[in-house]
This record gives sequence, structure tokens and C-alpha cells, in this order.
Amino acid sequence: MSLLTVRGLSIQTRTGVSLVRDLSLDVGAGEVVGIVGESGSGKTMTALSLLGLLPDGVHVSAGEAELEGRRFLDGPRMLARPNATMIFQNPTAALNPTMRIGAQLVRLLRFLDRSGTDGSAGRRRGDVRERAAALVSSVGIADPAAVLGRYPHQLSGGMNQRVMIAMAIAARPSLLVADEPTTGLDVTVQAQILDLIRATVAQHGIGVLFVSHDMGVIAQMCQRVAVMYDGEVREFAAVDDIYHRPGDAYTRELLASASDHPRPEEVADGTRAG
Amino acid sequence: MLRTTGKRAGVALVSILGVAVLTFFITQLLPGDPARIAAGQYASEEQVADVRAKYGLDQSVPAQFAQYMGDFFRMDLGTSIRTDQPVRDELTSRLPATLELGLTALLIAVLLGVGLGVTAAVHRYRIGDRLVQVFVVLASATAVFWIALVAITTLVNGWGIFTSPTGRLPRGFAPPEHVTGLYVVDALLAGDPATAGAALRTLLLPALLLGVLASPSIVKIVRSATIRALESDFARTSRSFGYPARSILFQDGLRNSLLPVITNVGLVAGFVLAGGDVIIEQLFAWPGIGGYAYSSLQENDLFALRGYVIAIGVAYVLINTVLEFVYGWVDPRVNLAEGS
Amino acid sequence: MAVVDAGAALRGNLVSRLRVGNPAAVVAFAVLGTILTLGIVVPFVAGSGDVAQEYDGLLPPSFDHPFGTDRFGRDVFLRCMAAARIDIALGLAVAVAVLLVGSLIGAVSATFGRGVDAVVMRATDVLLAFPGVVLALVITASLGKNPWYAAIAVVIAFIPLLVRLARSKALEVRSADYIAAARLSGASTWQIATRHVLPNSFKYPFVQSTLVASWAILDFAALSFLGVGVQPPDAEWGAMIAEGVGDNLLGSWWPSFFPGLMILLTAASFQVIGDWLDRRLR
Repeated sequence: MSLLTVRGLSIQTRTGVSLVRDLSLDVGAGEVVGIVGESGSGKTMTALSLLGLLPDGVHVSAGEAELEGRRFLDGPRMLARPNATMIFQNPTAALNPTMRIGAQLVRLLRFLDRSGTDGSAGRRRGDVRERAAALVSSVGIADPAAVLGRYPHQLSGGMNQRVMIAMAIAARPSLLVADEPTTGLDVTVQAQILDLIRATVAQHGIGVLFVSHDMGVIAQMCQRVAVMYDGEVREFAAVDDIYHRPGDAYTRELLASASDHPRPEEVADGTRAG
Repeated sequence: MLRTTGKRAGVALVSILGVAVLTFFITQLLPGDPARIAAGQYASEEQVADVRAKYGLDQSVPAQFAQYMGDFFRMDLGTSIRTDQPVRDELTSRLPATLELGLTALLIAVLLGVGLGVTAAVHRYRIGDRLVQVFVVLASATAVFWIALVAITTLVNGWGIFTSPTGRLPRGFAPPEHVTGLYVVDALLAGDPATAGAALRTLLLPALLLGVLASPSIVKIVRSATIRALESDFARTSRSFGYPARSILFQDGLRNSLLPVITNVGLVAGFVLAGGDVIIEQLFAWPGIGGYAYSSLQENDLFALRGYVIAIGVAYVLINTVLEFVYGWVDPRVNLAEGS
Repeated sequence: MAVVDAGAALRGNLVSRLRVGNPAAVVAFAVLGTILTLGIVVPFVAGSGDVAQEYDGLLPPSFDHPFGTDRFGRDVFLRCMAAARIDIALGLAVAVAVLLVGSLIGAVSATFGRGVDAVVMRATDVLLAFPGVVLALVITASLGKNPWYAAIAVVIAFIPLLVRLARSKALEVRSADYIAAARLSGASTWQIATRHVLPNSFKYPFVQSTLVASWAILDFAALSFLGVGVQPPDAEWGAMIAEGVGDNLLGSWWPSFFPGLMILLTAASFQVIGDWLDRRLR
């Protein structure tokens, strides 16, 4: 049975411009499913819509979504908060610039303690700061005390993304949505973050919806992938199949531009820049 | 950090010197003749010459300047033509009244500014925001002397909500024993709540007028900073965890929007302690330095006015320097950027 | 993204820029236009109301005298309209003067940099150490009580603000590629400052100067109210309010109320237009 099911999702602006049309996909437990596409293809809007984070003036116009069999999204209405968390592109901006990392973790842990309804509430007792430190070291940060005392702008992007992942895990989600989590990071840091996400999936058995423009990263991370173009899913299949037997013209083009040897007849078209 | 401290202190010192020099140039070197202005329009040539001799205006400009700067460093602001008293002493004795009024007005301006700014940001682009915008335009286009008159006509004389504009206390009340010079505080310290209440009631209307008219710039800054914060990536992170709206407003919104308020407070202080204050003190017979400046102006007491201007300029530089320190201390990013 | 017709996009952009499309701005233009028109037409048709004892003193507002008459039997409406010309013209003149001088100094300061810039910045530091009205007050008091001096004082008080703004925008422009190109092609620093930096950074000071017009009207009226600007019996809103203070405290509210209302309407209109320009030109 799949963990996340999205059916017929459409997203529009207030003025009626269609950003995503009739999108369907699913993610299994312990599975990493990718959404790949160029900027403006609607992949980020899809990710944001699942957590009710669409910006002002943009809304879900149709479709529904279920997580663990519970419907949480029904057209424009968010029925419930899904047990999902999200990590973002540009992790430094995603953290509050005026709060130390420690304070931000404590804020989250306190909030989770208050709103925690699952049976693990008793186990969560104990010093919040110690738990924050434990959380930070669980994402491979060597000196938790130092990091907790810092502000986001004093840490590298990779370090901040680790913190974000730590926070995302702390909420014990069944689904993690990752929106371009390594874009803008150094290549070596990028590999470390990807490893960390993979390890997290293995350890907690959660599902991941992984959004990226980078076919290479998708191929490393995902079992299945949805290829999006101009608000529509062109193809949704196993990464292997897409890689070796692309069924759609746009997918072929995307693969060509990602690989080292593009096939000229497919990119020289000129209608598509960037 | 130490280097930036030194640098800021240096800039402040240069500015204070500049204040002194500029004031000298304006009052002594501009084409106007201070002796003639001081002696009055209908004074005879001899009277003008007397004034010129008495205040050293018959000496050469460099000699006048040396004398002036020497006085300035000894914190001597000269002698009032009108009262023949040292200007510094007159200003010092009147300062508490202005501080009581100005600080209350500043408090009102900040509370109102932050309150309305946040309200507008929360209701952004909707009716609540529009109403706040209307307030901002009206309040920043209102002449303080006019609205004060309207308020006195309606609120005091018409409906009797506030006490008559006759100084710091209504008739029948004696000033409390001098401790801080702020009547409300002193009366409370002396255990006299009746006088404190009367002083507060008298203080409230002029302070409200100054505070309300000074608030628009704070509203604007808080509104745009709060909107920026509420639409920021980090507020989105908070929403992704499902934090309650109040937590997001305070921890993500307000926390990040109060920083720019600090720099703006200097500008607002300029209005409530000086610009608007001169007019309000005169209309409310408030015995502070603004009223002193007004009387000096009416009586052509150029030296008293000069002393007032120097005091305001120096105070303004000091306020802004202190605010810069506060800003650097509150915003973690400023220190890092300048410390490296 | 598909290739876009750049010409069409530009035309669309221009059209949307010129269309007012903002009810508040429409109202502001209408109010300002009405006051200005009345200010020009009424004194021609009905006189400027300067003749004392023409009517009975302190008549409340009525059909004959919409704003009533003042202590000297002068029609307050006629005087308000006569004053409109002076106050609005003055606000605009101050705004233009501040804009020209301020943005030129700002652009030159930013382009030359180093010594010139340091001197300009310290000078604005010192001028900004005074609240605007106080600076204008002491300048006028020293020069003598005269509306021209008051206007000059208001200009001086606002220049540092525009210098700072123009300078910061000019600094952004200065680092642009086309400035480097001009420099390579042998243009002098002065030419770069006046022909390239100034025109390209002019937009922001221009928007700001609309707000300066609003503040200038308020400050000038304040100076006249304090007795150092326009002198009675000349009609000016601030001076008229000063004349009406005594009557106001004795119950005749109209001689001082209406001039203040004119200030409010005019200054608010400039504010709204400034906000509108700010959004349009950004």
C-alpha cells in the first residue's frame, strides 16, 4: 500500500493562471520518489501544496491527497495537517536569522511536546537542550554545543541543511518533502546531504518526495520519478525505465541536457532556452 | 567590535563639533545682523552698537569664533538677551518637563506604530491594512499646530475630556518634591497619587498629539518589515511544522521587524523632542525647552535660540549614536559583518 | 520558456504604468487639482479677501461665506484660496530645488568617491543632526523673518535627505557595466556623474521629492505659524492659523480650522501621489 497518494491535483493563481494540472503520483513507505523538471514546471508548487504552504494568491483548485490512508487535502481545503515535514532550497534563509540554532530547536521540541498525541510523549521527557544536542549530533554534526550557540548566518549552507533535516526528523514524520535540498551547495557537501537523506530513510523507514531540477541527483536518490513540464506530469515511472527507455520527447531532451553528450537534433530546436 | 566602537564614537565627536561650527556659521555669519535682530526692529543705531559690544559681535570673526568654541568646550551656551541668565541653566531647569512630555510621546508613538504596523501586516492587502494606510497618510499630513488647536477646542473646551492646557498641573495642585523632575514619577515617589493622576491627565493630551503624529514612520517600517518576515522562508519553515499563528507572528514576524524600528526611533525622537515639541509646548503652556525656544524666537533672543539649537543638535547626535550601539547589540548580523 | 515578443511586453508595461488604476491616487489628483484650480481662479474672480472690514467680523460659515469670516471681517474661503497658490507653489518649488541640488550632489559624491564623498557625507551627518524644522527655524531666525528665507531654510533642511538617497542609488548605478564602458571610452568623472550616473539614479530621488513637497508644505506652514515665514496680513495657511489661535480659544473655530484642513488635504494628496509613483516606477 502506498504511503502518499495524490490524485488529480491542480494549482492555480488567483487570476486563474494554471500552474499545475491534474497531477497524480504516489510514494511508498521507505521509498524516495522524485519530481524532476525545469524551473516554472510546477514541481515546487506541488511540494508546497501538500503541506499547505502555497504563497498568497496561489491555491489548490482541484484534486485530493491521502497520507497513510487518511485524506488530508480535498480541493482547496486542507482537511488536516499531514504528518509530513519539509526541507527547503537555501537552508540558511529557511532558519530564523535572529534566533540561535539551539533556540530554534528548543522552540520546535517544546511545540512538539505540547502537541504530541502519540504514545511516545513519556519518552520525550528530559532536558530539551540535551535532546536538541542529541538531535544535532544524529545528523552528523561533530560539535553540537558549538552549533547550537550559533546563528544561521554563522554556519555554512550544508550545516544549516543538516540542522533543517534534524528538525524535520524530530517531528517524526511519515513523509519528508525535500525541495531542491542540495541546490546551491558545494558538490562534496551535496553528496554528504544526499547520503544523510538516504540514511534517514533507511533508519526511519519514511517516504520522501524529492524535488529537483537535476536529473543526475534524481537518478542517485530515487526509485521512481515523475517528469514535469509546464504544470503537467509527462511521465511517472521507475528511474531505470526513464533513464534507459524514456517514453516522452521532453524526458529525452531533459536526459540529453543532463548528460555529457547531448544529442544535437533534440536540443537545437531553439524554442526552449535555459 | 572595539574598532567599530571607536569609529562610531569618532563619528559622533566629529558630528558634535560640526553642530557647533554649523550653528556658529548660521547665527553669526549669514547675511542677517544678529545685533540688529536682537536689539529689535525699532532700536536706534546706538542701541544696536551697545548690543554688538555687549555680546562681542564687534570683534573680528576669527576672534568671535575662538571665543565661541572656547565657551562651547566649557559647556557655556552664552547668556540670554531676554532674561540675562545663562542659557545652559535655563535649558537644564526646563529639561525635565520636556523629557516627561517627549518620552511619553515617544512611548505612545512606538506602541501605536508597532501595533498598527503589525495589524496592517497581518491583514495585508485587505481592509484592515487599507484603514491603517489611511491613518498613515492623514497623520503624516496633519499640521501639529492645527490638530492641537482642534483638540483643545473639542476635547478640552467642548467635551471636557482633558484638563485645560495650562502647564504641567491643573490649578490647585502643587508640584511634587523634585527627585527625577518628571511630575508623574515624583508624585508617585512622594506617595501622592492624586497629584500623579492630575499630572498624567494634563500630560496625556499633548503627549498623545505628539505621539500620534510621530507614529506614521514607525507604522510604515513595522508594516513592511513584518510583511517581509511573515512571507520569508523562515516563516514558511515555521508553518511547515504547524506552529500556531501567534508564535509565528511573535517569534518570526515581530522579532525581525523590531530591529528597523530602533534606527527609526532617532528620527521620531527628533520630532517629539524638538520639531513638534516647540509648537506643542507653546500651545499647552508647557514649561519645557521647546516653549523656551518659542519665546526666544518671539523676542528675537538669538543667543538663547542658538543655545537651544546646539543642545538639540548634540542630544540628537548622542541619541543616534546610542541607537547605533543598541542596534549592533540586538542584531547578531550587524556585529558579525562589521567585526570581521 | 517560449520566446516572448519583447516589444509587446514593453508596450504592455508602459500602458500599465500610465494607467492610474489606483482609486486613492485618482482622489489625490482630483483634490490637488481642485485646490490648485480654485487657488488660481477664485482670486481672479472674487479677489483675494485681503480687504479688512469688508464684512462683519467672525461670521460663522454660511452660504455667503463658506468658511466664515475672520476677526478683521475678511472672507476665510477667499484667503484660503489665495494662500493655496503660495503654499502649493512653494511646496513644488522646494521639492524641485531639493531634488535638483540633492541628486546632483549625491551623484557627484558617489561618482568621485574618496575625499569628495567623505566631505559630503560628514556635511550631511552634521545637517542631519538637526531635526528639519529646528534647522529651518534657526536659519530663518538668523536671516530675518521673511518668507523667502523660510523657503530657503526648508530647502536646506531637506537637501541632506535627498543627498543620502541619491548617493546610495548612484552607488548602485556606478558599479554597472555601462559605467565601466563609459570610463573605458575616456569619459571624465564629471561627465560620468552628470551624463550617466545622475540620469540613471534619478528615479528614486524623484519619487522621494513628491513626499518632500508634502513635508515642505507642513514645515513652511509651521515656520509661518511660528512667525518667521509669511507675515500677516499676507494669506498663508500656517500664518492664518496663527492669527486664528486667539479666536479659536474663544469659540470661533473657523478662521483657524479651514486653513489647517487645506494643509491636510494638500499634504495628504502629495503623500498619496508619492506612494503611487513609488509603486508605479519601481
